[in-house]
Amino acid sequence: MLPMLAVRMQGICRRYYPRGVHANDGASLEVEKGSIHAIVGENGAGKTTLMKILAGLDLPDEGSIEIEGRLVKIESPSKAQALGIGMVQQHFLIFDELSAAENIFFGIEPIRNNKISRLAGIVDSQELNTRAQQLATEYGFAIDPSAPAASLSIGARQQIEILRQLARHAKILILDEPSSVLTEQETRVLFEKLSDIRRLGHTIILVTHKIHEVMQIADRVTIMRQGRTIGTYDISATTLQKLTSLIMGEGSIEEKQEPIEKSQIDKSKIERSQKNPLVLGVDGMTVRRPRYYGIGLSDISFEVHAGEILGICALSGNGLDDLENALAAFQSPSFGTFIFDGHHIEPHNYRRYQSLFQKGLIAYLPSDRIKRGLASSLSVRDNFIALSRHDFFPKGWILENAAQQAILDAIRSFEINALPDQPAGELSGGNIQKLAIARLFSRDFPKLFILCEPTWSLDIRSAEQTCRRIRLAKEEGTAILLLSSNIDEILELSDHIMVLSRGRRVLYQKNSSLLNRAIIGEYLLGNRIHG
Amino acid sequence: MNFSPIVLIDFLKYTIAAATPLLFASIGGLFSELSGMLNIALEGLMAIGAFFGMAAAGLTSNIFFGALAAILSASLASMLMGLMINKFRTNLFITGLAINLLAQGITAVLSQSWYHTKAVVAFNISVDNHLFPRFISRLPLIGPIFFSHSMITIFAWLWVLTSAFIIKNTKHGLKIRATGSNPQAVSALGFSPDRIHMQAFLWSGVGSGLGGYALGLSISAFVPNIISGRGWIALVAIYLGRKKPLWIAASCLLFAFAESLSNYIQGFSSIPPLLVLALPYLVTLISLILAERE
Amino acid sequence: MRNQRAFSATFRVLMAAAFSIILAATVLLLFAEDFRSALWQFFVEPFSSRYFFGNYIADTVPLIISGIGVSIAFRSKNFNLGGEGQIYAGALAGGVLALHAPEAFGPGTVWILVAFIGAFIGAIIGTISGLLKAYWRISEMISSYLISAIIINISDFFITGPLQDSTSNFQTTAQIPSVFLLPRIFSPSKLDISIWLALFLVLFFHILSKKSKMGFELRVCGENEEFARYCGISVRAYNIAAMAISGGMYGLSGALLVIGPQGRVMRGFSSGLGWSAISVALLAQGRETAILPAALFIAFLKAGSDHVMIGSGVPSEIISMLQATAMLFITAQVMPKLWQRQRQ
Repeated sequence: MLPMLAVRMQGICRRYYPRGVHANDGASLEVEKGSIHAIVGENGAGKTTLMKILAGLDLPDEGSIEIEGRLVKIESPSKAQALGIGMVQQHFLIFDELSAAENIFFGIEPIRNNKISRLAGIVDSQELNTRAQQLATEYGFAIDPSAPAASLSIGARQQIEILRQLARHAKILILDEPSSVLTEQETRVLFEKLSDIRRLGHTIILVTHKIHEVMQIADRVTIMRQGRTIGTYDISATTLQKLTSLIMGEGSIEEKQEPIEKSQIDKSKIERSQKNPLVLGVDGMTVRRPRYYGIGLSDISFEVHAGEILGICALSGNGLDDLENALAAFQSPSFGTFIFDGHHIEPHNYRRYQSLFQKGLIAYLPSDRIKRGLASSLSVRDNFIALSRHDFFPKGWILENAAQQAILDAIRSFEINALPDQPAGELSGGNIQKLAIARLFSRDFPKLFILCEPTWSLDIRSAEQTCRRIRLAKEEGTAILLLSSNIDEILELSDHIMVLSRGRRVLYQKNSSLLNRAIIGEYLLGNRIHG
Repeated sequence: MNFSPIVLIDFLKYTIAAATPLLFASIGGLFSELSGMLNIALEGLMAIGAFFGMAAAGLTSNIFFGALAAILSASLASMLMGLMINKFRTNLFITGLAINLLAQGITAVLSQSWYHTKAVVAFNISVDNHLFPRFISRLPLIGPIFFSHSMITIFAWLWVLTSAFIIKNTKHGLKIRATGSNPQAVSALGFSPDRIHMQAFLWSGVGSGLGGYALGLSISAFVPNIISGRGWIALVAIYLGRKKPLWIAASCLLFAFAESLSNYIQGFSSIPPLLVLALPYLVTLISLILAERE
Repeated sequence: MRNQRAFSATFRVLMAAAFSIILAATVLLLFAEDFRSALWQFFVEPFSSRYFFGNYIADTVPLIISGIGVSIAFRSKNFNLGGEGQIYAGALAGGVLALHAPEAFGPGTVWILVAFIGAFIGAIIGTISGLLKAYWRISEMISSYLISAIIINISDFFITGPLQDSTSNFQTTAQIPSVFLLPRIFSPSKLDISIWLALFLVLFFHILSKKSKMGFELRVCGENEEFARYCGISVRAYNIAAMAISGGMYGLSGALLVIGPQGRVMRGFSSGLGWSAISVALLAQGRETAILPAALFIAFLKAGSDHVMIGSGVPSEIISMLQATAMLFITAQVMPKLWQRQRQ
């Protein structure tokens, strides 16, 4: 007998107007009941669109959906909810102003048991908290129901979202890139919970582009490419290598290893050691924050020299964002000294540090590429030249031809899928990231790079290209600070590694074969300290 | 200047009465503010409520019909605003400005057409001030200050308390607050933020309509520019009260205090009246600065 | 793609204009005693004589100048709602200067001084709101409105008190000496040489915003403040500058009115001009060159409204209804359903 299908989607098409881009082009999907089913593919392969269609958040132009063998139309999130489908989106949908319990039971709150209350919809807040507590205990989550959501960590927010769907009796739980904001350890905890939830009879669909996670947790995997489904495989009957080549398209891995420009590097230059000049030294940096808004940083010190990469890693909510803001001249630290290229900078003359960015001595890639890195209704060209206004407005007036030429060059060499005149907000996440990288790397290399999550949302090939560009900058003598939550990236690129936990430095040492994911993970969790 | 106790009592009584329109409008505006929509049309909605409310009250000689007309007309305008914003995606502020202008135009044109004047339209409407038993309203000091107000003032305070309860304790209030906090999440959970915005706008309309009507009743007339900035002052009260109903009510009292002060100074001192008229705005501006800075 | 977007923007503007005209006709049908003559008064009379036409064009001058200021402020997402007070203050300051300037200065110097002082006063008032927004994050809409309300009261006090013309029955300052009035260029109307300044300002700001670094940076600030900071642009400076420019343009138009068509400062001087300038900027949709047709259109509505008030007794306040309609249509997305889908 065939196993029961929880979901069956066939011939799903979804075009985005007005450009007629196909997000889904005849995609199909079959998910067995009570399984963990992964959907993998590169950026823009149409995974999220397909799932949004299943969750009633988007409508297909063509195609049919069957839930547990019944043909259905899912035209709204509430319809999906009635069918027992719930989705946890990549960007969490939490109400900061409400409590954890109010977030979980939003829209289905218990009502006080009397006539007037039922009429006016007066919420029984005691019952609400009790129910939230019960639900959390049932699925093994530790959550304080009355805590204001604004005070919760990323991990807890994700748990709230999962509980919210479970509270609505979701039997089919969709998670879109759930581990992208979590670290190794948090991810492991999440996966354990997901296994538990499956054991209780739920079906889980996991959208991801991390193949090793798929191998670790999923029962079956569907591969998507360019809006189509390539195939579905049992995890037990496939290998990591096979999946990788399926995702990339046959034979693509070798073929795409073309050299990038400036690859003829003078080999003698690489022979630099620790005697390289100091570019940035930070001593005793402390950032204080008001309660509820994170823990800040205390007493952080490090050095980064020319031609060297210092990788800095932390779990979300452990001070990496504060470090980014302080280093990127967005928020003056409360205490601490910076030494940049021989100049002393204290909190009181922090403005001088800010001016280093304008002079092009420091270049910075923000982790939030949309909020901080994009003017969405300005053109791709305007976004590109915004950082190099000195070059494109030399006397205060624009050089139109030079700007046009520069963006065309960048689009070509960074393989950005965009037109110069197109509003930048129309680009996909990966292309926005490429644009941000192009903006930094098509200029002369600065003395110091501050790169935050440089490969976030890039597909494998672009990520590799970016890593190569970073190494190139290093070989040219640029000092690089690499802030990333991706441990592999940190281990692969860094000369030195620093780990933060609860706003403190818990590891700071040379990268060597002694370090691996597991060890770094221990430090990230604060289990080990080696200041 | 010479403040006798009688003047003082009168002054405090006037302050509470002057707060009435502000209470209605600012609590109404609070609903849309909480749902994430800064409603700068309170001024215009109040004018509409004042005009249609007074016209209906004058026609029927009944203040309840007046109130009904004020609520209906201002809600209608407010829903029009919500409709434009939600269905036709107009800019919130520009739509607010447009409603303010529209109110100015409609009231002037209709005033000319119905009463053949664009200036003062006087109505003969009496409002009962003896809601409380005599022995309470005759209590020394507190009697005249607190217990000799019209029904509409009492209703304004009920409006504040009821709204506070709705916002804090009902599903409806929770939805409004949630929409202001994260509209995408509301829609992903199967509710329509647009609809919730509309409901919030409806509250705004009801509140500002009654606010304008209260103002009209207090002078028993409609005059152009009757609102003279009170819609904006009510808006500032929302900020000064940090979006908490009771604190907003306190802020309204503060602004009403400034208003009565400017009235009294005009009568009692040699400072030119036109300069004194700037006082309520000045107090409002200063409290806006104190409330919002940091 | 680009053309399509430009086309739909133009289409929307034309729709907005068309609807306000239809509304005008409807209002006249409902409220005018004689619909036909009211129609003639509204739509034809402003063009019917050299005098009326010249006055109509003269009315566009303050709309162009203030409209361009509002437009610049819009570009950086700043809404200056204090136009009424800024016009008033600019006019009063300019008027006082023109009244007390010694004749030895010569008209040219006085014109420049009056224009400068008007713009300066307006800019100062705008700057206050800009500073409040830049340093304390106080909504510039509310603060500019409240400041304007205060200024209107203070100016009223001056006009009816210390500066009151004792020989006049109106609440007004004295008449400005005729040597200091701007030369008229289209007699017998009130159109004067300030129209050339208005046209020059349109051209100037057009080039500035299209080609200059400042214009570019202002656009970036209006688009995304955090991105602007990332690019090393001082958002504060541009917020303040935008409010200063729009305040300055309001003040300038006030001052030019005093030494131009008005010749003195009467109480209630600005009479809705501040709001009309916002309509002009909205109709222009952020394009400086489009300020000209937009100002011509709004001035036409105003001229029409004034003519029907005199001729048919319909209150000239219908202008605010017409403007409101234009405003609503201008920001409406004509085909919401289609657009909504693609936005997801």
